[in-house]
Amino acid sequence: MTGSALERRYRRLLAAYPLVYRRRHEDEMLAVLLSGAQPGQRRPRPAEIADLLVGAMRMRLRLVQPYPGDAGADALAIFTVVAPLLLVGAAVVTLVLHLARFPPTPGIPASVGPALRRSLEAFYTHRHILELRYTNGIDFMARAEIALAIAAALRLKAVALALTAITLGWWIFSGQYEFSAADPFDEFFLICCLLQAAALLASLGPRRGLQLLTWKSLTVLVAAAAALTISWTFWMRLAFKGFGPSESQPRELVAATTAVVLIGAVVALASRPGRYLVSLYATMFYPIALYLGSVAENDLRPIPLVVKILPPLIVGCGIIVVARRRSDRLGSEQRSGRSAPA
Amino acid sequence: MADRPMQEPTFLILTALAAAPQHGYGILTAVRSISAGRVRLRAGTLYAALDRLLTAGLIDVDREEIVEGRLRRYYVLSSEGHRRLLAEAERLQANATAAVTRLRAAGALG
Repeated sequence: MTGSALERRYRRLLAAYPLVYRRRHEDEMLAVLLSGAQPGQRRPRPAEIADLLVGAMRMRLRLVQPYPGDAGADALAIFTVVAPLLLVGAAVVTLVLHLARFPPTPGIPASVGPALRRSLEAFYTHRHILELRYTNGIDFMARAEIALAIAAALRLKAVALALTAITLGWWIFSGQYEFSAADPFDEFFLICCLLQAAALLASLGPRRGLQLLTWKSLTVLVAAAAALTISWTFWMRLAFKGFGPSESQPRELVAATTAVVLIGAVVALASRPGRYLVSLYATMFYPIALYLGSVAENDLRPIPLVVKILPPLIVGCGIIVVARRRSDRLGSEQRSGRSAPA
Repeated sequence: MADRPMQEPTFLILTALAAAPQHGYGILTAVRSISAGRVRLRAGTLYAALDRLLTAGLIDVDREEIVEGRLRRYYVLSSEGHRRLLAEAERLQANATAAVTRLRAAGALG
C-alpha cells in the first residue's frame, strides 16, 4: 500500500516531463526511484522533487532531441554559427560604407512622408550604426547581434537563444517595423533572428556547429557571408537608383560578389547539409524580394508587419515541427535497433 | 576539432559503464562508489545525462529486462564512448602526473 502511494506520487512528478520523453524513460525512471526509496517511505524526498521538476523543465525547454549525423539538424547547427556572422557582417559593411561615405546619398522623392523619410535618411546615411540618438531599436539590435555572435562563438546555446528572443521582442515592441519599409536591413535582422531561434531550438546548437566546421569551411562560409552582405547592399543601391540623381553604381562589385555567392551555393548543394543551408539562406532573400517589389512599383509605403513576419515565422515553425518529428522517428529507430542515419 | 573536457558526472557515468552494461540504478550506485560517495546522482539528472549520451552516440541500449514487474534497460558504452573515455582518462592522468611532479619538485610531497 505504501509502495503504491509512493509510486503514484512519483508518477505525478514524472507527468511534468514531455510525453515523448515519458514514453522513452518513465518506466525505468520509476524503477530507479522506487529502488532507491527507503523502506516505509511514502513521499518523494524534497531533493528528488526538485531534481525531477528541474529535469522536466529542461526537457520541455529543449523541445527537440536532435541526433548527430542527421543532416538537417547538423545544417541547423551550422546555421546557428553562421547566422550571427551574417548579422555582424551586415553591421560591419554598413559601418564601412558609412566611414567611406560611399556611395553618395541619393535624392528622396518629395512625395515621401516624414516617418518614411526619416527611415530612408537613416538608411542612406548609415546612422543606424553610429547615431545613438536614433533610438527606435536599431542601436540595440546592432549590439545584440554582436553579442549573439559572441554567444555562438562561445557555444552557449541558451545565451544565444535568450539574446535572439530579446532582439526579436525589442524589434516588435519598439515599433521599429513601422518605419522599416525602406530599410531592408531590418527585415534581414528579423528573418535571421527568427531562423536563428528555430535553428537553436531544433538543433544541438553552436557547439555541434563548430564541431562540424573545419577552419577551411569556416573561412569559406565567412567569405560567402561577407560577399552576400556586400552584394546585397549594392543590389539595394542599384534598386534605388531610379529615385536619385545619376550616380556611378559599382556594377562590377555586384557582379563579382554575386558570382562568389553563386559559386558558394553550387559547392554547398553538393552535400546534404549544404542543401538545407542553401534553402535557409534562400529564405533570407524574402525581404529583398519584398523590397525590390516595392521599388519596382514605385511604392514605398510601409509593408504591413504580418506580410513581413508571417512567411519567416511559418518557415521557422516548420523547421521545428519537422525536426521534432524527425528526431522522434530517428530516436525510435535507434532504440529499436535499426541503423542510425548516415 | 578537438574533444572538449568532460564534466565530472559524464565521466563517472561512462566509467560506470566501462566494465559491463548497467541499468539505471546500477549506474547510480556505481557512480557513488567510484566517487567514494562524493557524487550522488538522482534519477532526473541521470536520465537527462543518459539521453544526452545516447544522442551523442557515446552509449547504446544493450538490452531490456522485466524484473519484479519493473523495466530494466541496460546501457553499454559504444566504441566512440570507449574512445572518448580513454582520451579523457589520459588527459586527467597527464594533468595529475604533472601536478604531482611539480609538487614533488617543490618538496610539498614526502
